[in-house]
Amino acid sequence: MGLIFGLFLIIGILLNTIFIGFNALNIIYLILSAAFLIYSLPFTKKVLKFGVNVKRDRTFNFIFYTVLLIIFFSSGKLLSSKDPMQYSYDINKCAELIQDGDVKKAEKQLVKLYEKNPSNPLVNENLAVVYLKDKRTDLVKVHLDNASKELNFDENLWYNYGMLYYQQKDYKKAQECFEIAIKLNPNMVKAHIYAGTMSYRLRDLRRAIYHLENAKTISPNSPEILFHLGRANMDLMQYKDAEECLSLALSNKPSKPLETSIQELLKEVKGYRGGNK
Amino acid sequence: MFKKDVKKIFLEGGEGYKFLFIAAFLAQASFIPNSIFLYTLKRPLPVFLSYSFSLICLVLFLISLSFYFKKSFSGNEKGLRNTIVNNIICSVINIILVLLVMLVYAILSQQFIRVLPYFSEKNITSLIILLIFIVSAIVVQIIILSVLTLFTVSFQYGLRISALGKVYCCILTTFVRKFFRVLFYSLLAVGILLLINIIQNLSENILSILMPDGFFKNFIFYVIGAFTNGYFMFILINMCITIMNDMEDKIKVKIESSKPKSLPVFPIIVLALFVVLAIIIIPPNRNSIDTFITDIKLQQDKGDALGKIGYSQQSIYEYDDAYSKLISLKSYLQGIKGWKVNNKALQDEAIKNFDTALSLNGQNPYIPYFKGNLYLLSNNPDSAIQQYNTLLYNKKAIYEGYFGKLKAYKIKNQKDNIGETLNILVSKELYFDRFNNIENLSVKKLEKYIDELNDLEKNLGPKMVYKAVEKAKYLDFQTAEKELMELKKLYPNDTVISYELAKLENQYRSEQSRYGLVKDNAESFDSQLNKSLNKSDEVNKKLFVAQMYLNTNDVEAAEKVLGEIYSKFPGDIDVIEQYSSVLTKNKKYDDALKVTEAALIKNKENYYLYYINAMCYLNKKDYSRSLENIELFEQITLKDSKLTKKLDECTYAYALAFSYVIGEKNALEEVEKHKSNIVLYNYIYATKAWREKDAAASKESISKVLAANNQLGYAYYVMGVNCYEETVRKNLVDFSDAEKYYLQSLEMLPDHAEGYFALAHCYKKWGKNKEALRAFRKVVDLMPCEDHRTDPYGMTVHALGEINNLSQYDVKEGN
Repeated sequence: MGLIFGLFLIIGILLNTIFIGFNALNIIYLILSAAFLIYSLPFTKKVLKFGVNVKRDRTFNFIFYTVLLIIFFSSGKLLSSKDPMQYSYDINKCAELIQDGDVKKAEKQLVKLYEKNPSNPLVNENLAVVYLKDKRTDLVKVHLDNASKELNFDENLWYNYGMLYYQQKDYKKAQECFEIAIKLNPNMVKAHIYAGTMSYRLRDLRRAIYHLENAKTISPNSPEILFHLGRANMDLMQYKDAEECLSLALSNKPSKPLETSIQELLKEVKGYRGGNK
Repeated sequence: MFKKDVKKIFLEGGEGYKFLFIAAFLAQASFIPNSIFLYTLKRPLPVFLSYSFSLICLVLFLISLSFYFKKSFSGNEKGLRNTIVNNIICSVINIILVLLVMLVYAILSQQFIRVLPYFSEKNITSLIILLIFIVSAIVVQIIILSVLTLFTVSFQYGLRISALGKVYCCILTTFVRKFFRVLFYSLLAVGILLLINIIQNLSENILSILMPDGFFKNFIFYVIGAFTNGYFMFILINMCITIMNDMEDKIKVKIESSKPKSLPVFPIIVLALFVVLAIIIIPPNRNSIDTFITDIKLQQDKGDALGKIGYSQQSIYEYDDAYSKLISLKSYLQGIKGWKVNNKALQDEAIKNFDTALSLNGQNPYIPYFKGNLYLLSNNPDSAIQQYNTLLYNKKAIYEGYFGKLKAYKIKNQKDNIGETLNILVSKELYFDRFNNIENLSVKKLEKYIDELNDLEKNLGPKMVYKAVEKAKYLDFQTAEKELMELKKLYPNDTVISYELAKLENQYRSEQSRYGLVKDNAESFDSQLNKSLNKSDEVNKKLFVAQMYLNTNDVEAAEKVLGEIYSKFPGDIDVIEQYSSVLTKNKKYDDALKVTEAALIKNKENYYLYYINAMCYLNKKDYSRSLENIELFEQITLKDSKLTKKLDECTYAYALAFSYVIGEKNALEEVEKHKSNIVLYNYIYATKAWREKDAAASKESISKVLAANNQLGYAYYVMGVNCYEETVRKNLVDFSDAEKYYLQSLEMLPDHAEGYFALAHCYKKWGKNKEALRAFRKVVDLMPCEDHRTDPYGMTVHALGEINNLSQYDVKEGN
């Protein structure tokens, strides 16, 4: 089997070399494949006399193949860093770091990537997200504008623009951006929530309820959505709907601070509904 | 027994495994010749070439498999060349048989999706259906295993084509005899297949992290795949052999008994069945444009379905995306036509039309692809590359764009970029261009497709109405109206647009400017929707039109419409109710009574007709009959809790109307006769006192009404007004009583704008500005229009002014 596998590797890498020519990685692959093939030849085994001691043969085989595989893949990883796909992989890694809350580490890596390729829209977008977390709005704007040159129709870009305007307290613009994000991806719950809360801040209550109801359709048991919806309903004097939303929010185990806010609001709504506040 | 079997299946007989590995690799090896040709030709390959490579690889796979059997089993004494030829012929039949079973399975699955909604009903029928489907899925799986056994046996013994039928019968008999073992094996095979899938996905992910994209990565991936797939084949073969292990003699007898030159009945039946099913399932004459158009239609249907289940945003997204695709394809075809007939203007117009597609859905990947292709046609590689580059970050990118890029780089002679693009194409395993044939279509064909797309656009374009409807939901009237007006210009004869426009204009009507628009659109809707309607639809249509006339104060026109529909359907109760109501409004009391009395013969329990009668007699000053009818109305509505709202609304309206005539002697006498009817009697006196600004007396009477029936929202409202007026007159500061009654009233009448208006003033007077602001906002929410006919006190205008004044008290918090 080893011989066949070795032959396959040699054929594959030779074809690859014909297609894309010699490069450092191809040469390393070629050497490794040749090593594999030579090692698998019966002649080599005879010379090395491994066939005599089966146990030693197996141990050596294991070590040889493992080392070969490690060199094989690590050379691929190291020498293919300029590859565009590798670049996206690093960016995705940073996005994961941001999601896990390790913003500082993500920023460090993203800045490195940005220095290598300042026009990459994904690097710019992720950097903007990092700066959004730090509320460095001037830098957010720069990177989002950079990203928008090629990512103009990406819902995350518009969502982040929305967050930028929200931080700058320009709720009207923020609402517009969140609505564009919804248009691009109607299943983006967080865009629905923010479009709703921006409308609420602008006291466009019917619009707030509309967006929050849409968010509720996608995520029916989210205490956060139910709280915002309950509050908007309350401000539009729809006390029955408000009470239903808030009670449901409470039953869906909200976080402690949210629970306190829900309870306070619920008490107020019940007061109005009882008519004896 | 099974434990022994499992050991046998997974481990025994691995001598010829390398041939299985090679076979598994060869089965998928068409990527090698495809890549070689792509790198050499540097342009998309013809589809037939790609298919030919797959066919050659299949033959090589079968040859390699023959070697495996020759090496591992000694049952076949024929020469290798004979075996290979036999195996290939039998394999073709076997593969067709597997495909046939798969087709049946596909049909079954399709039917399963159709009946899926019934499962939500959770009754016995749905359980039976589910059971049938599970059983049929297992049966199909076992049949597949039986065909694979035939496959194995034909390789093992080098079967002749004429012996296939007999051996298959033998296999089926064995399968019936060893049913449970077979069932176990087939489930095991499915489990292993799932496991192999997971391993392959995992290795693909690891490879994409560790290796650069390109031919060699694919190569390594297929080598790993050959290991796993080879082992899966090894297990399957062992399974089939284990099942058939004691049937060796029987099979040999069957082989010997079959005559070499006899007619191969079994293969002929299999072939015939396959041809029939293929004709039924595969639609004829499909090319990339047909598929594209079908996709657009399917997406439109999806939009309809999503809209129906309440996912309006998602539904709009589907419509937008479908429409965007339609426009992009149409523009592309127009552009090609322009290029073919050498019409530069047509080409420019096509490029411009992409902007409309872009405004509908910026993520539509066909826009940059088609646009880039058109730039290439007009020999503008730079603009083309710019377009194709936008595909790089598009989540739904179509990789055929890289073929365009390749062409553009070839024109610019940029060798490095050509190599990089080829590498990407190979890594995506894209060897031919689905849309390549479009550019080769004749002008006539292009025109035919453009016409087809125009027809589809007539259907899809008006769907954009739902976007405007969504905006109307959150009171963004101006944008909604603008969008609807634009659609009306494009599709002047569309019924839905006229209907929605009439509704919207009605919602925001004002006497000065929009009455005309409401009527015009209602009339358009009426005239457009007149083909083959059933009774119910026609009635609903006319009722809507009449309502629009009523809302715009054209009571005569409403009466005419309703009169016409009444003469057509004199028995329809909805028409009778509306018609008699309009006649009453037009003070044609005798006519109204004629209609209601005739209807009451058949509809003795219709509460509304008694109410109309009561109002008519009241206006005719026949107080006795009026009170008699309102009591009948009350009796019927009290029986059904669903009618409480009607009871509330009509009793309030009647009491208010009666309070105007109670000064007349005989009216008072008649009311006194109905003293036992506590609600009606006291309601009339409460409204009378209210009108006379005697709050104390009004409160006393209305509290009696509420004691008798506490479900009357309007009675709470009257009580609230009295409390408010009393507090104001006495110069007191505590409005809590008024607030309490208003809130109770609004709990029952959540859409009562007057109630909110009164409450808002109560709060304002009380100094509760935050609450007052909230109530004024609610008034505007309920009555966004400034229609002085339906809003004689100008509540909306007043409320808007108050909102402006009170906005300083707005709640500041809220994230």
